[in-house]
Amino acid sequence: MRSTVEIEKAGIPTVALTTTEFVSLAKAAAQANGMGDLPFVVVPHPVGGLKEAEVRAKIDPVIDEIIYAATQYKGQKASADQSAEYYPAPRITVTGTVEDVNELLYRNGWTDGLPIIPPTEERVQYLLTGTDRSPSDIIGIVPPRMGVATVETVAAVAAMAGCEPAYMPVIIAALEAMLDPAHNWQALTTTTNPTAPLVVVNGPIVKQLGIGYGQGCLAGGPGLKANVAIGRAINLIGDIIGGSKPPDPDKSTHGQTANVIAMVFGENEDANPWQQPLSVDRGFARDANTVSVFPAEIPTNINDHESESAADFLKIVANTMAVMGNNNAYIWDTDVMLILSPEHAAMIAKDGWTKDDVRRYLYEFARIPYYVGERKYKTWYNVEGRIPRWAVPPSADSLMPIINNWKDIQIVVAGGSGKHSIYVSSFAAKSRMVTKEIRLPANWNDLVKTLKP
Amino acid sequence: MRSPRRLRAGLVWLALTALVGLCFSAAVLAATPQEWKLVVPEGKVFVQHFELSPRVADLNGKTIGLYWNGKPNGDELLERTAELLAQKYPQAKFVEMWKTNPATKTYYLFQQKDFKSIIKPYDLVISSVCD
Repeated sequence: MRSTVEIEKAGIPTVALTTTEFVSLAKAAAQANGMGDLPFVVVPHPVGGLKEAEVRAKIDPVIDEIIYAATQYKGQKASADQSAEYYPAPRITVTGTVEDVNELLYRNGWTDGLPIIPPTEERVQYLLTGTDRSPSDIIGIVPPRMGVATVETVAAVAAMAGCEPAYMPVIIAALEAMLDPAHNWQALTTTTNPTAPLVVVNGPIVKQLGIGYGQGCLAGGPGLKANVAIGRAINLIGDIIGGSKPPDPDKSTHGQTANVIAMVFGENEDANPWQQPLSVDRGFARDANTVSVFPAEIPTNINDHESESAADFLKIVANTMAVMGNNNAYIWDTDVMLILSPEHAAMIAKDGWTKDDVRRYLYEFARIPYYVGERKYKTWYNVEGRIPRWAVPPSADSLMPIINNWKDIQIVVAGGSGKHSIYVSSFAAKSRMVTKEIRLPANWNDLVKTLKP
Repeated sequence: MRSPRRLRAGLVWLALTALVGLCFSAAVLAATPQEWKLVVPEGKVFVQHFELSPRVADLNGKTIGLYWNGKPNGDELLERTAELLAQKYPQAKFVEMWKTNPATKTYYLFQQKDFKSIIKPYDLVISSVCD
């Protein structure tokens, strides 16, 4: 959609063809990019997966609309920018019970349906003690609604999600990562793919905040409040400030529960046998506090209680990664993530394998026969930036990798005892994992003391 | 003098009574209407408004670019559109952009370095943004 808007902005008139199911998303995207009057011609959904004749027949009834949009459509006169002031956020006064407040916020589209803590001025002020930044600072513009995320509105959302002030630096850093153009949040939050943010926290801050990194670190429960509260705040920012709620403009066919509470966990750095955590792989100092936000599809379990060597285990991992239904299997220019349990990681390292050895092996052996994905490969052929030189011309039996570069297999050690690891495929479409350093406020030591053990 | 046992029982009773009272008060407080001043969490929308480009009054003699973002069958929609338009505007020229320049078959045409020169030849662009 964005390309059509930019063509129009460049002075060339456009007509955009879309379907009944996607016209509201297309209009929202056009509006968010300053072109709310863009002319659309709508055909019945779907278009993909039909025979050629069925697709072509959808155009005949709308050809006069296309001609009108091309030759006569005028739209409305552009209005002036009305959004000069972003701070302070408006206040509303409500009389009622806690339940009444929840109901009001829910009806306004400001919650996910779970109970929230009312974002009173006092509570928001309390959350703001977790950052040195001014409440009026703009962290970024959150797609697709293009809502302005000020430090104040982020604190309000964090308060609703049940966060402590000390969580604010992690939330702000995660938000900065998601707003990085390399992450492509706009696409992630509107696609039919069931994407969700996966957030890895590294550094001393993991233990200081009590972010779970061991047993059940992706579950909720006692000792895991930071994981779920931060995860919920991250998703509420997308839902409320970004306005990305199903069915529009979040078009996720099914969604996933991690799109309610994002997957937030710390790396189990004590159990990392290489003493080389994700943050170091990403170019940060060993003691840096970082967040890495990964554009996750639905994660896949890797159960292996039987292997006794790295080679045996990694064969199973490679097999788990070679899935044609994942986006990255044919849109190769992205990262994928392997979350190793401490026991699996120890077994690999014991055999003398480095993290790069693991990456090279998986790149070579996590492969899919060309004939399995022939239609997908052909559809996406010659698309700039996607088709690697080595892939042309393949034969039916060619073994196709699942990403462009072995270096893009991200490896994290997390979890507790047990022989289950996790593979996370990527949304992939111009979307990458992004890592940002967490900046701590001057009162950090005092903030941490306010946390209950 | 009271026995330590009776004293303990008395203290437990007092603690339980206080706990029940506290829970009751909290429940009453939660259920009692009060005034809340809330910070609206959604933030204002950042909007810039751009005006539409002028339309093309007559398509005859014009060059019309057909832009396909790569989603399956979008090319079929555009090809059929060109066929039908050609019947009404026989002097119009239609260019299937993905055939003359395969790099245009992407959502992210606007990010390409030569974006402006790619679209420059066209008087009108019809795009398929379907799923």
